[in-house]
Amino acid sequence: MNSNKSSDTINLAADIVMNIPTVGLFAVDTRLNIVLWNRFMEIHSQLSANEAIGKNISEIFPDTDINWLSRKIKGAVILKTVSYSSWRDKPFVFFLSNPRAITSDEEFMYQDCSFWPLKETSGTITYVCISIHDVTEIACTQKLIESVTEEAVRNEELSNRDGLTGLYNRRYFDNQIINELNRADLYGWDMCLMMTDIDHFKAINDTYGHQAGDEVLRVVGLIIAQQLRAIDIPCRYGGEEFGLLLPRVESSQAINIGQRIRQKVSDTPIHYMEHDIPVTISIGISAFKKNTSHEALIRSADNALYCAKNNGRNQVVMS
Amino acid sequence: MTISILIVDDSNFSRHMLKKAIQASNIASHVTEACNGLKALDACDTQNFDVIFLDLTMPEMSGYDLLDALKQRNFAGKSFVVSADVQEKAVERCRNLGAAGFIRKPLKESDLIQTLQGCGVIS
Amino acid sequence: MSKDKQCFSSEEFDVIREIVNISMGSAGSLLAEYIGAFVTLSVPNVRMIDQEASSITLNKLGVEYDAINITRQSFSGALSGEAIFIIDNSSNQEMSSILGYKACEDNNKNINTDVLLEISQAIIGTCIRDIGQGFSLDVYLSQPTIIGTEQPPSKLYDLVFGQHNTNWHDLLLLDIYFSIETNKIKCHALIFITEKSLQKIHAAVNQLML
Repeated sequence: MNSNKSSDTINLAADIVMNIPTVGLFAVDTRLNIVLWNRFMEIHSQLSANEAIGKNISEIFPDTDINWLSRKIKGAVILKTVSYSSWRDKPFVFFLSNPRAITSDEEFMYQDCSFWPLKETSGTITYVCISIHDVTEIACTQKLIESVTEEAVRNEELSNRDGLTGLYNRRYFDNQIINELNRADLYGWDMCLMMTDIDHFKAINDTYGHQAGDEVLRVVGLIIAQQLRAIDIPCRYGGEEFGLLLPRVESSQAINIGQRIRQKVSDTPIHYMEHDIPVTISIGISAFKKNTSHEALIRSADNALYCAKNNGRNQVVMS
Repeated sequence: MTISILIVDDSNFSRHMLKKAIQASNIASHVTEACNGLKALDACDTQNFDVIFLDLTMPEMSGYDLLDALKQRNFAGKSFVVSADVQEKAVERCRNLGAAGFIRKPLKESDLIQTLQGCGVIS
Repeated sequence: MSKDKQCFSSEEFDVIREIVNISMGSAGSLLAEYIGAFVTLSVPNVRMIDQEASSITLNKLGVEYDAINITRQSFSGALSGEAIFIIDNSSNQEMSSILGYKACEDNNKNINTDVLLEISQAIIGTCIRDIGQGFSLDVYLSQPTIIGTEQPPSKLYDLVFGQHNTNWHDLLLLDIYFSIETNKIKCHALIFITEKSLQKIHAAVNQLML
């Protein structure tokens, strides 16, 4: 009676191993020849068990890195412990066709695999068993989520940026002024606002053309950005006007920064086609004092900028 | 004939297991214990041992250093390394330092008897 | 569970250390055979730790390394817990040559993650299996994951414990340092064993002390 039950159990186990619809199971000997091949493997490799058994694994899977695989098998035999591979690190170990035959991007099935040794009663390892889990759906969903997230972050960034110069746009800048203002108010920090615009920009456009004008804007924007710290916020405020928010900076520091930027622009003729276009900028600065509104801050900087223009341009004026 | 044995290992449990194996093998012996290489050398100063069993990984003085020290002192008995680390290089290094044999942990009586017979310590 | 029940007496610790030593010895020789190089293991440091101690341990650990790569592999069964494997970039590179990998062709990666996964699974897998055998306790290993590459050592605690559940009180820690091919390759295994495994270890130890 007992031996009937135990052979029933063995038969049941064998049936499950051979027919389990969700897992590929096959086994190899220590020379990597196939000794067992279940139904999942038959279906996805289009090779029957009869055809597979006896063949070397490198014949059936010529794409698989045989050195890596040999070491996995060697590991199971010598170390006598299970080891794994995951789709995240190796999308597939054994090339089997993608079960989503029509709409998927890849031709292969994404796989999570495990390799474990089967022992003889003497304790030596004669066979290594390999399991394959089809994780194509999981992998594709994961990749989709990642690319959607990446795109959302990119779009978020783009919606805050000016297309030509890559600096922030006015909308983002205005929001940031309010945020920084609140912080400065709350913690008693300094803050300065710099408004700058390109001298004689209309003349540059008229003389060299609008594309040259665009290049001038782009390069000036770059020069400004390069002089700044990570927490400073540069923006293209209008046609030829730039705004610069300098958190935790007081007036004399702001003037130094302004002079540095002004000097750099003045020293750097901007190259477009065969022209070297000399460019200068005028800068107006306002400093935050308690209870200043954001409109007042901008107005104050603008007034200083206006002074700079009237006084001969290519200079920095503090309001 | 009673042989004089010194067991050197920093683990109480390990020395206990070796003593049990010696008792179970019915070898007539007198056993002394030392918990590290330095104490072992002290014991060697006061007694002549026929056999020393030593571990390799011990604090203060490793098994390798102890073997070297025994060699320097022209130790007349036989020393056997009892260790879990059985890499070829480890075994070779021990032999070069004068060990008569190498027994793998976890220790079995049969290993013990075989090794001691093999070196002529017991018949 | 009261703290007394979780702690081991010094005699029991001695037995645990010795079992771990023996297991590590056998693990070391198997690893040497697999890798084809001489493997030296430090004497495993075995101790109980709480949350505070785990933070100190992990923060001290990376001090000698510039940039580290870390994997986590869980194990379950009678013995359960998580094993953390740590190796620095240059050791991983050396390991890559010894195992016979070609130079890393992917320009985006400075670290060969195939090697990282291979060596961490070999070392952790063998240690866990041998320790389980040493105590005669069943152990099953799960899939490993890479939890950080080229990270500054100061981030180790955060990556291992920081952002996760902190409901545990005490763990048994096996802290093992490996050096392969005379110090060219250095790596570390931290095996954290859960409170609920401790009862089983108690029983196993008492059996051995008879």
